[in-house]
Amino acid sequence: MATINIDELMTDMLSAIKSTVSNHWKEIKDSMQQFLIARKARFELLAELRISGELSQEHFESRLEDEKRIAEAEMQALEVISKAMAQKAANAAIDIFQKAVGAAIKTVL
Amino acid sequence: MINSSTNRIILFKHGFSLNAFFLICVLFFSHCRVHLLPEFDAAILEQIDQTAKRVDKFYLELLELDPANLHKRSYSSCSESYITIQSELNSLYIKNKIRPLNKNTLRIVEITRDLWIKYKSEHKQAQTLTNGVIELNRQSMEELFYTMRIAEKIKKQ
Repeated sequence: MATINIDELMTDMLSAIKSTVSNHWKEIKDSMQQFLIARKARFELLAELRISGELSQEHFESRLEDEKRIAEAEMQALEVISKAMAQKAANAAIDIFQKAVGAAIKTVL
Repeated sequence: MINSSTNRIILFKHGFSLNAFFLICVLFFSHCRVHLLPEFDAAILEQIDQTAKRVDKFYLELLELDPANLHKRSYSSCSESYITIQSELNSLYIKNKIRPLNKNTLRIVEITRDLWIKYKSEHKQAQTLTNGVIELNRQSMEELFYTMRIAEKIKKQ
């Protein structure tokens, strides 16, 4: 039965990503590596199931669509994390302002 | 005398304006918090954990069944579990839908629910599942529940 070298495949996938985002590669390299590492086991299983014939081509393509949706869910979670960080930072700045104003009032009164 | 009292009034007015300004600022900013996300909900996080465990157990039990008796993996023998889990996902969807500023988490729940329904339909159509497909479904669901959990837990700060 044909096999697949998942590590080699991951390197090729990373190169493909790099070629599409050449100018921003440095900014996204770590995230993309994590993105692929998180999928490694699933991609390996998916490839094995297709090669062994356990998954038909139609079913395999349907599974790739599922992977896109899982990736979308992860992007949504990253957006939540960004918002949480922005919210925390903005509120910390407001707290400082509030304390400064409170201290100023004490000196005026 | 007139000048002195006028000055006092002016000072009072200025002092009052300044105090009022600071007071308004304090009142304004004490209630003014930046909200980009809904409040953390411990009950929802608990429900995510319980549903994730239920899904994981469902697939692990299917994997435990003797492959020689694949009929035990028939859709009909699993339909009740499918419905119970779908009901939990529907509940999570509704609870998240009514929370303001929650479109990202809602989308994660929606994707999870859609894929669960898809995998249920595939099982119903195929009538049985191979070990490979069960493991693939299990891993996909694990990833989605992990994502959902992160999106809720980060709100706790």
